[in-house]
Amino acid sequence: MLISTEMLHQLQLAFSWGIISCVVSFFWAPLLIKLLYSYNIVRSNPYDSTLSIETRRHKAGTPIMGGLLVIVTVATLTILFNWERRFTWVPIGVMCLSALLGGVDDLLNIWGKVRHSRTLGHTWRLIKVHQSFFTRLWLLITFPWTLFKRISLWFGSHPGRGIHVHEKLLLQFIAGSITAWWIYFKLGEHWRSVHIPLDGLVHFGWLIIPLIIFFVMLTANAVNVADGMDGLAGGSLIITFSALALLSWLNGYTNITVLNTMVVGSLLAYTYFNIKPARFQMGDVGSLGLGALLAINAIAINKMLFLPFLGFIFYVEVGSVIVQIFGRYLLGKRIFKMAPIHHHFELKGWSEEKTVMRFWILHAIIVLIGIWIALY
Amino acid sequence: MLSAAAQQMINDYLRLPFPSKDVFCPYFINKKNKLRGALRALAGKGTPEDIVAEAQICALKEKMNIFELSSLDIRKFLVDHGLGIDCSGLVYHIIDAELQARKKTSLGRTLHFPTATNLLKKIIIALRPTENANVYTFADNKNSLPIPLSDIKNGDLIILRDTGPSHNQQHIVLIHDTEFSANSILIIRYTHSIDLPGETWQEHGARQGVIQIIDPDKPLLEQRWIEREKTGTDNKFFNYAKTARTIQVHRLHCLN
Repeated sequence: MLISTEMLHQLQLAFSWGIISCVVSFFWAPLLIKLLYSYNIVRSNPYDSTLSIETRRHKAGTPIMGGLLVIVTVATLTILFNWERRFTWVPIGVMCLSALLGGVDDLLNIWGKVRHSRTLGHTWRLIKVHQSFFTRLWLLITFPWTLFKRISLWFGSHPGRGIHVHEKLLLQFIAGSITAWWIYFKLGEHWRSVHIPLDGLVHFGWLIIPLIIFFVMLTANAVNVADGMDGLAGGSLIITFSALALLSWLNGYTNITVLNTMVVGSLLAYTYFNIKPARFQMGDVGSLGLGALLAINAIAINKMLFLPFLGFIFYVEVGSVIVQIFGRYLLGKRIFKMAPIHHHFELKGWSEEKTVMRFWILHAIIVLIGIWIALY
Repeated sequence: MLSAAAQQMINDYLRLPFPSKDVFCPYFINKKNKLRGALRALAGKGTPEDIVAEAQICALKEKMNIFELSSLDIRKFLVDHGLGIDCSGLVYHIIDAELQARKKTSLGRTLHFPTATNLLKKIIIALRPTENANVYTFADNKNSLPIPLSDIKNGDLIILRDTGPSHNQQHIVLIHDTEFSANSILIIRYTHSIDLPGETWQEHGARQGVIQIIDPDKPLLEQRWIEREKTGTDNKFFNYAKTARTIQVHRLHCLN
């Protein structure tokens, strides 16, 4: 099979920017590590109870927010050399927005104060007995919001610091909405259809909006949840973004191909410093940002339905958390020893290296299957 | 004798599966904390494995390794963190193990729950049968019927109603073994979990005892009760049982 000159040129461009991104990231990684240590932006016990697992105790004191290496490198290179209104503005914008959310969360977890929200029972009592009518009315009107806040607590594990789950969900909803607006209103009619293998394009119309929001929110949280072992998120993201680069190249999306290879190059440098024993960890700044970017890039090349393959291990991780929560509240039992699932294997006695590498391999197999299906 | 699976369940409550440790399961009843929607291990309804696993997680949250503690310290940890088993929970899991071995079915599917009066409660009970099975459930006529002392066999239950100092407690005991002694006296061996008045944190929980049926025509309380090598009025459980308004031996329909 002969590759056309144009496609070859796109491939060369993509590889070039991947290498440049990798070199740039390697260049300033030591500086970032030094900065993180200087400002004491490190993982500590109060907000990470998993540090009590014997095999994880050495992680206390490891810098977090290492994901800035990828976010800043990719955003800078894209703005300077790959800034194309149609295909890169919104992905980079949403990535930065999600990364900002994650960054604030990381910093509040270190320097913030514990914040408690009122319980439903307390709120209801105030509605009944508060002496001010307007306060009672306000509490009544905002009761659904209070209900949402308390229910969302079930899905969080924070000890009260950092951005609360309901705040995260709201901001991620905004990020997803921006993505949906871009896809639906800006990219054109073609993007309102979804590619289904062996069937072709199926027109979803406005229904694609909630789907996009759902996938952006889910994927961002999935990568966030998966970032719990040295090299796990980094290595898995390399596999995923490589697959996205291949698929975007095959479908002729030059700018998105270059964006994906930039991410891969930068992630290679990040993972070099992140494998055990990690010099830094991704933090929410990287996991939320890259998770959102993963979803957006897949959606932009019309491979939304392949996200379960492309982001397989991330969805398994977030799925394990959801299953654990439902098992706890519905059945009264732990389904896994601990969620996310990588902790379950850790508590079963698997070493961290074994768990991470096996997850990489499993993820790579499923991504390969996803690529194979996407080619039809 | 009960099945091997039921025996193993009893043994695991009497000696929780902490490697190389000797810790018997403490008593815990959710009436005190009134936890709702909690893990069953935290509601006094967990299996021995649930309790050990939850103890490990609780210890991790406090930056400890539970397996490095001494048996006494583990016991204290369990008591302090509300990890234990109540009387009906212990009986439930042992009978469930017995049913699984005998009839390949679970107790939750077999029992009739008198509190399942509407659809929502039925769904809740279907999802969480252990937490909703109490002494009243076992004593319900649709689940068991009283039997004479002369007819006692393995798997039967001793149900104490309106017992305790204020006559407001219910208690259930499982007969796990019966045999005839050399002089033809029926010996009943039982297992239960209880926190008797005056017991310390080191004493309450799962335990076993013996009732020697000297005269089958007389009530149960007029037989010879032995628990923790104490008999007569020295036997705290016997004194507790004497406060019960009714004490009967029941046989579960599902074990017939």
